[in-house]
Amino acid sequence: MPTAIRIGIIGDFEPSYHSHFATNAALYDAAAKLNAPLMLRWLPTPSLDCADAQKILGQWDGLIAGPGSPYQSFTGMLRGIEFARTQDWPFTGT
Amino acid sequence: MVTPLSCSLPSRREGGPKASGDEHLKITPGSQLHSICGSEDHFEQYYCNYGVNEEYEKQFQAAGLRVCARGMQGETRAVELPDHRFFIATLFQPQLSSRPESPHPFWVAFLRAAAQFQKTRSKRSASRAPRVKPRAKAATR
Repeated sequence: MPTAIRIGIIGDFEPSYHSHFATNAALYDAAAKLNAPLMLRWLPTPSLDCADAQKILGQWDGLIAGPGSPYQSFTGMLRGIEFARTQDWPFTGT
Repeated sequence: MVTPLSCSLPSRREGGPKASGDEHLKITPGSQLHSICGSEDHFEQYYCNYGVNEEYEKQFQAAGLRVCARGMQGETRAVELPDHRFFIATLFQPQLSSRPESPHPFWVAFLRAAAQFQKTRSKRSASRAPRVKPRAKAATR
């Protein structure tokens, strides 16, 4: 079994938001196409508004800024984006 | 940086946000997004009320962001960092048109980039001094 691709979605998951559900679904479908196991977690924005944010963010192979502003912590979201930008981490926001 | 959209997309859904439904886009040739999408003409789905404030476009470009998709009136619809391994931000949502039988190429490309990064990150952290100490720790787990 190959190592799972670890993807962290920065955002405040709300199951009733179609965009959130669709983000998860699209990622699992893409992983199936690659025949690769996927480990997917949403990273709540307030959890990144702290000194340890880089430790949390650095655990993932790719980071996504989830849809659906306003976020609970805009600072947390910006920390995530800044980390990906300055550390050359795979990143997208859609 | 962002501003409420001044007009709706032609395909706006009843009761939906201004940008809902699909829109014809022009993907910038030579961009990373173009290499993913494979063509200049593209349709994508939206669910949003905001767009990029065009007054900031020059500042975005001066800071290194490249516009990689535009609406038919020239509006900014996606930006990317050319020298980054994968840094693409879009106003449209490729997840909305992705289907189990045909996952959107954007997400396949993103996962490929992440899988490649996973393989190379330990090598990379050894060859390049990390700017942030906790990262070196995380990379050797």
